[in-house]
Amino acid sequence: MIGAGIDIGSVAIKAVLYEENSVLEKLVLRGSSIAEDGVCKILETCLEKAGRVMADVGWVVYTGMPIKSLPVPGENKSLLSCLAMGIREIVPSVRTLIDVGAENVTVISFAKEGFIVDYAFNDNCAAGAGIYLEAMAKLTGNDLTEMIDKASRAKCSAPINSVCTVFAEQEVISSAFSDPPVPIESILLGIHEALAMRISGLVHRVGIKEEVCICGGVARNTVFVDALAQRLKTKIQVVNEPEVVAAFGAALLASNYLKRKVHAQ
Amino acid sequence: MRMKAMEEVRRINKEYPYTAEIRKWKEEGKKVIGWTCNYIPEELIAAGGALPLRLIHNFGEMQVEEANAYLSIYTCSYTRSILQMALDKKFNFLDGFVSLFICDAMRRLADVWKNYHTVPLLYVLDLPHKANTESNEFYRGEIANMKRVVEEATGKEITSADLKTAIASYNVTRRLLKRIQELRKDDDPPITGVEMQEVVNAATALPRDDYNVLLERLLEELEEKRSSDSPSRKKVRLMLSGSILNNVEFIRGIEEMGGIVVIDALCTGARYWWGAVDETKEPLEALSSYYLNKFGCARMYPAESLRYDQISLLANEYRVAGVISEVIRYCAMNINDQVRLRERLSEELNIPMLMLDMEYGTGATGQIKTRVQAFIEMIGGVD
Repeated sequence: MIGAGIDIGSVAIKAVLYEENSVLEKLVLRGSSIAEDGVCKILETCLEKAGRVMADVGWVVYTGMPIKSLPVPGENKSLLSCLAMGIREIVPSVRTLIDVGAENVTVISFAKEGFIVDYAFNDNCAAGAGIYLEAMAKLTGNDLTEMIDKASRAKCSAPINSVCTVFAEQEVISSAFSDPPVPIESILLGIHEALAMRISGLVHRVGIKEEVCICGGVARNTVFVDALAQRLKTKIQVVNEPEVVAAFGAALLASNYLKRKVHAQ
Repeated sequence: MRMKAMEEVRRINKEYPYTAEIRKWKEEGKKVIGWTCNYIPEELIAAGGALPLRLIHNFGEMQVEEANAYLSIYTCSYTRSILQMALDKKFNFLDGFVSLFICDAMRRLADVWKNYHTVPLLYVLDLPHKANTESNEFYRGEIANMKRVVEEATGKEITSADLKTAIASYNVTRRLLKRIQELRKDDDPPITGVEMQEVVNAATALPRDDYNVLLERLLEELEEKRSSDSPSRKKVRLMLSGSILNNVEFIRGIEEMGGIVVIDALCTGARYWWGAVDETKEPLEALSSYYLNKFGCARMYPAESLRYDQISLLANEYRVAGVISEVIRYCAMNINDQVRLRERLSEELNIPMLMLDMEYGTGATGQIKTRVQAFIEMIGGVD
């Protein structure tokens, strides 16, 4: 039987199919705004790619944004549990995990033995997560890759102090229109550094222990990861396919559930 | 099986603040005096023949509009909710209002109340921070002042015998609530955290003797339920701590996530009825010493013995696996309390703590549920 893990994010849905101790298929779907529909769609597409059918799925673990009805039998688990499960399988020596998604930032601290010691989430608003970078890219008339590319070429950074999208916009505009104008590359680097500053505060709340890993969609942003590593004065390992860590963990949880069920029978 | 006493409690909470009991009380020509803080000796009001009603908002988060015009946005949402209720004329039946200088927000509430919402009697007590001989003497004086004000308002002298009767009756409540609390030591407590909060929420909205009768009925029903119930699924045992809390929906959210609240350190929970007033001492002396030395608010000193020792003791006694600490925004004393509380819990008992930012009356919103779910899964272990 297939154990499936689905991580419903605000920008993308991620799915992993897991069977007999290996990953069968994985998929990331961007822009699936309606969660219930998105869940069905991603499961079907994923199964199709793997050449399987819905009846092969024994159990699904959902995480991320809550959904009301579950199209396939399964359960809801917290993002924390799924991330922990996933990262421990991928990087067993992990002690600190930083997950930066579109709207959520989660930092988890692990004991040597692997259990969770402490964790922290971002506070009340999504400023200081991926959505912030997207808003800034839009404001400066770049797409994300362009923005990262330009920021990496900056000679120095313009100080952007706020990660509140509204206030940061003002800072960006006033830098861009100052006399002489601050080069756009510097502004873009400043934006990344502001985000790194905000997230490093969250990391300090649980404390840094090496080995430090980063996952979530924003982990693909090299300028941001470098800025964060510099700020935290540590090496940060970017997980392969960073956005599917939670979905992978969820799939592991689903497959464990199936194993237990078989064992109990 | 539906519990009769519990239904009565729910009816009272639904009718709050102008319950059928209070209507009857008023029709008999008797007075009702509102109070806010856990350190106000309500026995004194009862001894004066008035009904002491605690001002709370027990259903959901209040839409505060006009109150924001009178109280600054950085006073807590509890005081703003209560002022809003007063401005909505929900408390118009009150014959008096007693507040206490426990924190700045409470002071401002009393100030604004005095200016804009006149009641025949308004008194604000001063409360020392420490519990020692001098502060005891001081607080005794404050209580004596309050006694005079209550006497003036009710037109009736409060004798030592009146006070003793009132104290005895309030002590009965404390003992009964304590006995109900003890039932929560069970592996499968017959009363949930939601129900316990409902019971305490109802406490002041009816004459005390009636409430005591209600508690006795509840206790009987719980004992019965306890012997007939089969144990249910194992839940994660939790303790609640933090700012004032009356909305049971918040607790319901926690308990739906697989936790069960078995004990709390809230001023609207265990700290309301903890301990008992010494009935052998001179009444004012006994009241002063009871209130200053009871299971303490985050404001009181020495915090180690008045508060943290007690919390550790209870966490141990009730086999708590985690503590959820809810803090209302701008509740400075409780925010400052978090660091040491977390430290004591983790160093002494190895119990994790989850802090939640809230408003007074916040229910189980998505954000809170996500955090609580993660916390409960962390304690329960990922399987």
